Amino acid sequence: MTKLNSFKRLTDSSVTKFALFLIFAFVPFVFAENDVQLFIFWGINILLAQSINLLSGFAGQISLGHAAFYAIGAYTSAVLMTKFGLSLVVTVLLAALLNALVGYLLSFPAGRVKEFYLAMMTLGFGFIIQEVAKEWSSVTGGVMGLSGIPSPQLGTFTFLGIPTGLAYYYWIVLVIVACFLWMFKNFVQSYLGRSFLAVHRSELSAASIGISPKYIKQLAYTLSALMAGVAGALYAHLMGYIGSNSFGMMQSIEILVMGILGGFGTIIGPILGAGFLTFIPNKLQFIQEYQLMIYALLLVLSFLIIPQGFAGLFKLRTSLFKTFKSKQKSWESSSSIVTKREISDIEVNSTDHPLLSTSGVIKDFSGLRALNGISIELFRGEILGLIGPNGSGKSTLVNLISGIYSVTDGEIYFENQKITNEQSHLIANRGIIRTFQDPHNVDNMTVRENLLLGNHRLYRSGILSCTFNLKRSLDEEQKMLEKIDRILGLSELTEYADEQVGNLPYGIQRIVEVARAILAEPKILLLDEPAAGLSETELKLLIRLVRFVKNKGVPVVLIDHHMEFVASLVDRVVVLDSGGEIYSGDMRGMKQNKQVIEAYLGVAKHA
Amino acid sequence: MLKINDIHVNYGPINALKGVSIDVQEKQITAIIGANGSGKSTLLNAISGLIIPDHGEIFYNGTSIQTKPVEDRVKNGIAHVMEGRRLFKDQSVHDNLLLGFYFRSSKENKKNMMKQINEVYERFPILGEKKHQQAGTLSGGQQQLLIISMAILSKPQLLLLDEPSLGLAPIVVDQVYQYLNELKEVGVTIIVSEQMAALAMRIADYGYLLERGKIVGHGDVQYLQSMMDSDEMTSVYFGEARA
Amino acid sequence: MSSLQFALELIFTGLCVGAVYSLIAHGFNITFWTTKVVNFGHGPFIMFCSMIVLSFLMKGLPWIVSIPIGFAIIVIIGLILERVSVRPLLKYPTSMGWIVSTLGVGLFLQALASKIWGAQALAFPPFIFEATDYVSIFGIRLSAQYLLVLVMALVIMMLMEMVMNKTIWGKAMKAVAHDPNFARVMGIKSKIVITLSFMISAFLAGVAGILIAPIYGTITPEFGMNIMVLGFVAAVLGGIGSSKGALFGGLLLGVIEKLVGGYISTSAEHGVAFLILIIILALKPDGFFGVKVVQKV
Repeated sequence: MTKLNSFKRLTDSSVTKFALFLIFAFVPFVFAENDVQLFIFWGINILLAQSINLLSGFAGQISLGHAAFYAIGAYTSAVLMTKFGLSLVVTVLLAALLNALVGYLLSFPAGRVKEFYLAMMTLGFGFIIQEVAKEWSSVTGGVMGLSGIPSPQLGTFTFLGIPTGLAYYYWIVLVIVACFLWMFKNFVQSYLGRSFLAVHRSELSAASIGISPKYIKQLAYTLSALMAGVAGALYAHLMGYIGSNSFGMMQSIEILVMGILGGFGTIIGPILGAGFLTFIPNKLQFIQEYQLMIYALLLVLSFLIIPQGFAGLFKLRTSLFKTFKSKQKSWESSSSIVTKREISDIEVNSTDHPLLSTSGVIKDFSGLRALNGISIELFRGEILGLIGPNGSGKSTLVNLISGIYSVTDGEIYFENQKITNEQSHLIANRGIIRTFQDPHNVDNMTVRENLLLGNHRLYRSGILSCTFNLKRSLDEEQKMLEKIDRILGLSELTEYADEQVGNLPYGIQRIVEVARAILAEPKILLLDEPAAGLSETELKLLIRLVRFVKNKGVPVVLIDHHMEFVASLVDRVVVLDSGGEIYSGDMRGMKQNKQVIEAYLGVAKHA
Repeated sequence: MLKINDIHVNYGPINALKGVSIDVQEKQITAIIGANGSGKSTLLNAISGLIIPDHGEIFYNGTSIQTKPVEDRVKNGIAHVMEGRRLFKDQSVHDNLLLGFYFRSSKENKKNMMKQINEVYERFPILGEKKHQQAGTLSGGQQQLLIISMAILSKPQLLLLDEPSLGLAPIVVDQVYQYLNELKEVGVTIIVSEQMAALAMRIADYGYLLERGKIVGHGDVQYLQSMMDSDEMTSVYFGEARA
Repeated sequence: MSSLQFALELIFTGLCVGAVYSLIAHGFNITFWTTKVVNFGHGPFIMFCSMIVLSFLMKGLPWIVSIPIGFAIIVIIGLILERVSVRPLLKYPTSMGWIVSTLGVGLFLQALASKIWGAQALAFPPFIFEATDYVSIFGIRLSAQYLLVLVMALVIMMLMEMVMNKTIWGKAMKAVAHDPNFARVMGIKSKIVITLSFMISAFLAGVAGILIAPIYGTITPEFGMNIMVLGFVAAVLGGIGSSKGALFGGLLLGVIEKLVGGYISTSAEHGVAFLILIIILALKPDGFFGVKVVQKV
């Protein structure tokens, strides 16, 4: 624990960062030209590695053809400077924008497919771009490539009108890389960065707290491509020459290895991975002969032996939220977040109008009717138990309400509006929050970070605000952290706050998931079998949390088989059997209802 | 014939069985009765070997088997009809029977393969009629009969059935249960798990009540009947403090 | 040559090339069935087998010896792949593990081939027919080599179909694919079946290599990777997991490629394949004959 803390303190301190910057600034004075060039390569590789880290490590979108983005950046900047004489600032900017556009466009087909389909698609994308580079000779110079690119090494490069040598180019790259690392850190530590990890873990679970997986993927591809494009531009001018061979499978693999070896999903990992792949092959000449073989072996073995890369090996982890030195704000500003989301519609506010209702909902699954015309109502401040034997349709109903399935027929209303068949993240954004039978927390984030995810739909700061640590983003984050502290106390999770969720016992994970749902400030809470696997003490805690929600006037729908648990919480129950409703009323009546008893125990004698 | 001593199963993170001990007499039908989540499937899975218990012992005909893999147990007289009417739905009825027979039979027995399969067709002509149809196209009851027929092709001594009545119409349940009685007559020991206690009681000689991973009662048919009559059974399901 | 003849020749060539794509797609399908895993090193497997056969041929051994040796080696590599890259990584929820690992094995083979046989193109001798042999049908010249490829690919696929559907082991493989736990309860050793499926997939890669190498004339360490993506497009087009789909997708892709190459430009051939991939994945990800999987929540 202490090692974790001291590393965090180190990386969060601006003094350390400034000191490091100064140290690196001295490189051209200390090292020979060849080595300075290596350092520049390291900087470029850091950008590449963080680029794939953002896309694959954080957002979980595998990318086997990443060199394609690199290529587009390189060619764009090279051509713009060579043919149009534009300055570096402009060419890099344009290369970044073009890449962002390409990334954005790619996110459409890529975002729709998963897993190995995506992998093949990115592999194909890599091949295609290389083919384009080979064939479009008029622009790219084909296989012969583009030479005569203004380069500091050839003395043909100028920056802001001044002829620039290698040392100056190094400083330019240093500044750019430092800026990008700063932006990267800010982004990853913001709610957007955390939402990347949420989508990676489970799109369903992310949508259930209001995160739009589609939007997140678009963002991931755009930003990742942008970074790789900048790297490509810097590379083109460093070399003075680029050919289609520089951007093939080999390069894509190198980028992948840098990210994986360094450690996906961390901030420092790719920096280490990039360093490793920049300096080691250069210093150990014999490796170059076997380069591909070694990289290939690294790919095969890394997931087996060091699945978290160097960063995981040395346990170097930065926290995924913004930290503050002084707690300046007080309580009234944070309470404004809570009241902001109050239900404004007076009519719906009253207790005799249902907040949620379903009308004749039918759901078929290829010939099997799971729900046969269910009409239920949910009123403010009540806890409704939804029970029934296996296969009765309880989970199906909750899945329909939360937008995971679409209805075959019937309607669902919330706050007097039709929400039937709306997408799940939109339904979550309305305030209908649900949990799942298996807690889908992000295992390698801490409890605190997972809880922060719950606040996602309440955040208002935008991408720029998050990336540049503008006041708005910082203020919001601090308020959210204070909110977290209170929930931590309420759910008795304070001692686990900075532990990684994946290492905690199941019961605690379940409580984290429920606490996270509560943080989303639901207007309706749907709990799907939350009691399964919980100990007696954990059950009591869960009951306390559900009552907390009820006391705020938020209705809860509870599915569970643990009858005592259900009985201690619910105001009334609806019993389903084989897709139909067979009882609605209080629990006492249910236990004496003949139909219910038959549904569970069967008929003694066959009529 | 089957003796289970104090087994604990932690199914992933959940305590599915917390110290369960049962004793099954041969050539009888023993019922395991309990609500959802009580651990019925886990118990049967532990017997057949799909799950290895974390603690405790399972004795089959005097030999300890709790660490033996499934594939061995099903070749030594145990057959398991899993819950959910699991079948090779994309293959024909005939192929399902072939698969049911082939991998659990000894070399000499393989000669009798067609004979045994034809016996199934004789007993259930409807299966014979549909023998080249995909198993997924059969009705629920027909599938259940097919699955049980597959299970007994290995001529097991112990047959486990996990909620065989689930989703079947009452008349079909009768058919299935009648078949189970026939099997009992020929000397097969049967363990049936059911959620619907009333159903299980129709054929059970002995029953165990399972509630959230623990045995809360057991006895012969009269005991079970008295539990039903006194509403004790409902409290097992709907959770109320018992004396 | 009339325009009709030109078109027919293109279509014929397309069918032959497509037949190889189908074989590759089939190789993908086999492991996908049993484990939902696709070997990302499948392409290099294709290349490696043909390299091995070539090296034995160059040592003077006859085809009848070289081919079985090549097959034997590649099948063993398939077994190693399953043990090292697939089985230990299946327990993780993410597929990135086995994707990267199988890719790694493929790249290792590619690098190894470079090391052993050099990076330059090696001439692969014609198999049975010379490049110039042809058969005349309706006035069109059909290359005998291509025809052989088409026929052999179809024969192999028919054999595979027969093995899968008629033999007990084929049925057992389908059983493990459908429900591995139930298969175990029926006494089927699922682990062995899975390993077998990877070995068969490797065998199919080897066959594809032997068939296509003579047509290419020369082989390089990279040619496997390139053709793998095409085979994958064929698999997706037809619907991954379906043998009918593999056949259909491969043939269709081959014909489209050759038509595009003949009427537009040869350099656009592969670009069109990628375009098809994007379109199909965007519109109908299950392909033409694919089986839809309902996600249980």
